[in-house]
Amino acid sequence: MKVTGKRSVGRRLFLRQGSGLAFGLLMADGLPAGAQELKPRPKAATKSDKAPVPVTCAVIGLGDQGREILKALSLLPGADVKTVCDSYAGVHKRALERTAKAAAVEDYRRLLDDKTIAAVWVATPSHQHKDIVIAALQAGKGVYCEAPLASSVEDARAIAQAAVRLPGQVFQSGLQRRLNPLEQHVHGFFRTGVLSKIAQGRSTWNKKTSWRRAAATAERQTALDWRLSKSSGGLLGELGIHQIDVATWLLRGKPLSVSGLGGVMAWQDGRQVPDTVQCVFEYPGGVRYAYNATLASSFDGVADVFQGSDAAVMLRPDRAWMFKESDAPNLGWEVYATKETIGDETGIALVANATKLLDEGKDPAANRGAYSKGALYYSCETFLNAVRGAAKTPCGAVEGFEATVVALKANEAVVTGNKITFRKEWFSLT
Amino acid sequence: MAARGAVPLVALARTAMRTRFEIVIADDRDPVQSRAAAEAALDEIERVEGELSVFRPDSQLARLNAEAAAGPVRVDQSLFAFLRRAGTLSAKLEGAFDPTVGAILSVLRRRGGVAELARAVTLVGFRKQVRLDARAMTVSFRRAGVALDPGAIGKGYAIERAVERLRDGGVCNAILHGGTSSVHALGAPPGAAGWGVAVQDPDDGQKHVARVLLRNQSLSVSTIAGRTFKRRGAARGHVVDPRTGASVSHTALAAVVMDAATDADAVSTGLLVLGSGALRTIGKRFPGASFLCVSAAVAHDDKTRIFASGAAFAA
Repeated sequence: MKVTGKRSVGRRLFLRQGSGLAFGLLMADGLPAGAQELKPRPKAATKSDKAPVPVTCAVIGLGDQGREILKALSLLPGADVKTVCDSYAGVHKRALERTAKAAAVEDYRRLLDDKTIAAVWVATPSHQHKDIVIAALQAGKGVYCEAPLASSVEDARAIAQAAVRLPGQVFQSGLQRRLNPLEQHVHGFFRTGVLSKIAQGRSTWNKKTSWRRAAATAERQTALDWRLSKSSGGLLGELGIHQIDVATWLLRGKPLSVSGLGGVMAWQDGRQVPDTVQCVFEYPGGVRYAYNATLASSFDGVADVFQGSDAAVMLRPDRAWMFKESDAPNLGWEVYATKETIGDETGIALVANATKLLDEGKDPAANRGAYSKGALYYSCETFLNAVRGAAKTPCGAVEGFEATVVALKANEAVVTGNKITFRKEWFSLT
Repeated sequence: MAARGAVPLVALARTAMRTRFEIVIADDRDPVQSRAAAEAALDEIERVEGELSVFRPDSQLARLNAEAAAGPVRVDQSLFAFLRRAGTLSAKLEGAFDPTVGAILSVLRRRGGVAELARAVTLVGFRKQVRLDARAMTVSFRRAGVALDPGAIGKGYAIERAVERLRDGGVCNAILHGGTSSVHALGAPPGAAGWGVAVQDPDDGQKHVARVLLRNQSLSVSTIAGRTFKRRGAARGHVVDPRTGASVSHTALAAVVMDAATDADAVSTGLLVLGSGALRTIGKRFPGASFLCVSAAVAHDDKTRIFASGAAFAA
């Protein structure tokens, strides 16, 4: 069976999800008395060994993110990419290097007319999402829309409204970190209350880069550098959205307000968006979360830190640790968990999928990280399974819309220098 | 590389693959555009590291090493093409370069014993041990313990992909290198016929054994100095003969000039392992390439220490 077009919407399949959440911890030598050592077990055949149902796919927008999507799809069994699309034909060849069997088109309407295509990824510049996403939904496609949903709240609302009006159709927002097993593991960890009273959080995104796209001609570069124009969501809308969304998800509630400052500190090249931003969000319960990003310096890279009265958690791309206070209650398992030194601190490594590794006969310590194929892979896998009818996506239109509103309003706070108090109606889809 | 004429030189560097990659662009255009192209090229190098690193458990290659002995593992098209090419190069170099050398390197890294090393040698051999299925886009190993380690050509491959990004970005004249041992030159600086690059004397960093002029060509230099493994108290050179597990000691340096950086890396590694005696055979298999071979200080007589063939090293 192959999932194509409208025919298969709603069909239920009983596929085992490939990215199950496990509260595993990395085991180390020297188990205490009474502690149970988790031994690798021989691999047993499971339902996941069955070939997944093929889904006919298309990707619209073949820039860096579009190509990353194609790479993720090439690793996903059952993802048959039939068509790739970009209005600029100059990028077709490079995209086709990732997906030999696909055809390339310049006009997205051509692939929407193709009834065999069931799933469409939209990875064009954010301000071009609206028309494409709405047309794709109306054509009966399952749609994966990259985050932010749009460069304006109005466009994002139009997209989300179109998606919620078609409840039988799959719409997934590209909030990929929510679907990464590591983040899901940390999310579950927060729910256990191990951090105790959460006092504050902070995220950083630091990289020395002009944030300009390369192009053979000045005209093409101007078209590609849409992120540097004032109509874009800037650093907060285009990058910050993913980290801020994780904060919203972990802190269990939308922010109440945001204050921001920003400026062009390093790249005085005519750009209209700040290259360095600082924001402070106020979350329910008085928790404050700071977001800092700069294109001037690479120091400290990308990180998210949340501090509670018993423990702090730090996330880096595909790695996470917990740092306990000395006076926090003993958690029992912590004595045999793997510890790593991070600067002057000792962190307990938080590892997703340790249980799955054991199921497959592998030693988690030796295979640490082996299951991380990147957040985008898992996000695409979730979407494909939703199109197959096997599971509902947890990152729908509402989640994408709310994250977009928060990020775009934070950008507004940075640009105006004002404190913005979020209003309930901004999040309304009615 | 000094500034020439009025053309602005744009220079960027980034650390990746445990080395420093540097790009210098000498195009007569807005430096903002040149910089964006160089950033795209450096981003591509980071992407290659993410695909090929044996030290990052989430890389596709690490995944193959963990799983391909148990059954076919699906890979993306670029990794598949890379492995196929590595296999072809390995065959043309008679196994003196072999991407399955990982089993041996792993024993050396953990300072394993002689018996362990002998067993590892039996796991090496791309053609014998690795099965590529082009239809299913999968890779599988024939035996448990087989390990890919394409480190010898990793930098060259990263540079090759970075060069494509520079070209996409409209760059015509640039030089880029990874750790100074893998170099590619695009075009030439203004007023010059090519980019001049000197090859250091392996015994005396103050001297050089050759100077080449590169234009749309790659230079790869392999030496037995550099990273070493400690074994029984003695340091062993970082270049190992994949066919025997022995460290190379007869040749101190091999340098190759070819069109593509990946090929140049493989051939310079193979030449270092095979030594100057293989120059004629390798020369026939890689027409158009230029070679330089410097025997190790203990193994040479002064008259025949340096062997060269091909246009690039003719001067």
